[in-house]
Amino acid sequence: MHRVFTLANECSQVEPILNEMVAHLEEQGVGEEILHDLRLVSEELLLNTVSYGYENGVKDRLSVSVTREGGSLIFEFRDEACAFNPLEAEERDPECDRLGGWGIPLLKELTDAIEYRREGKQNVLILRKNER
Amino acid sequence: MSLTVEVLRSDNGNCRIELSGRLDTATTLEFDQKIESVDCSAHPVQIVDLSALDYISSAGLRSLFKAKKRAHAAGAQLLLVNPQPQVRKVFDIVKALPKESVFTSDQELDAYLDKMQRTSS
Repeated sequence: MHRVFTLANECSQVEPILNEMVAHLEEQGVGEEILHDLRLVSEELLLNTVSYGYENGVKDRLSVSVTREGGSLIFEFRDEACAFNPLEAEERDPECDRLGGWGIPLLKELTDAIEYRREGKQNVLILRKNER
Repeated sequence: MSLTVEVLRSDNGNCRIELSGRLDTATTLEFDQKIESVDCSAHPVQIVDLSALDYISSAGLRSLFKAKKRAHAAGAQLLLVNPQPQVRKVFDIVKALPKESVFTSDQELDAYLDKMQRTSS
């Protein structure tokens, strides 16, 4: 199973795309706990990128490709926001909105593998979540 | 999915805030506004019932953290009760809220409140 979801870099677009992703995975029979965890990490990542990754007025389309293979779900997030590796972000004051407050521990604990790389102008973040 | 916040004020000084749905970026404003309407001096014990809360994100956690801080600054207590397993998991990962302020059940909470009352009298 492989499907790509895209959204404009606007906060209002995040929830609808998350709903679409979850509905799609639910149709594929993915378990509730996995769905919850993937929705949560996707929300943290997408909202952070959309809220903080761009200068004023810059437009972009983010993509999330979802693949199910070999007992794992693989999510690949791509965007042309400012370079940002969440794995290197410092833990911040919990009252600060930027990912790095509490989004990072959630990202690390709720996934089984994370990889980040910069490809030209793109941030590429790949998450793997095992279904068993 | 949205959030419903029901504030139930009782005569004994406690205030129960029942959340239902999701507490995330889209819904934290609703929660923030309702919790700020609770008078800390009239309601020194504020109990947030999470039994019908299905989902919490870091934004939601931040709102709870702020509400706890607000209560504490006013000499009040904000306690959380009945988190669903997936919400409890988020609390355990982030460790933003002291364990002693999260109660698995109303029985556990009542035992704590009884103990507090005996200690203060």
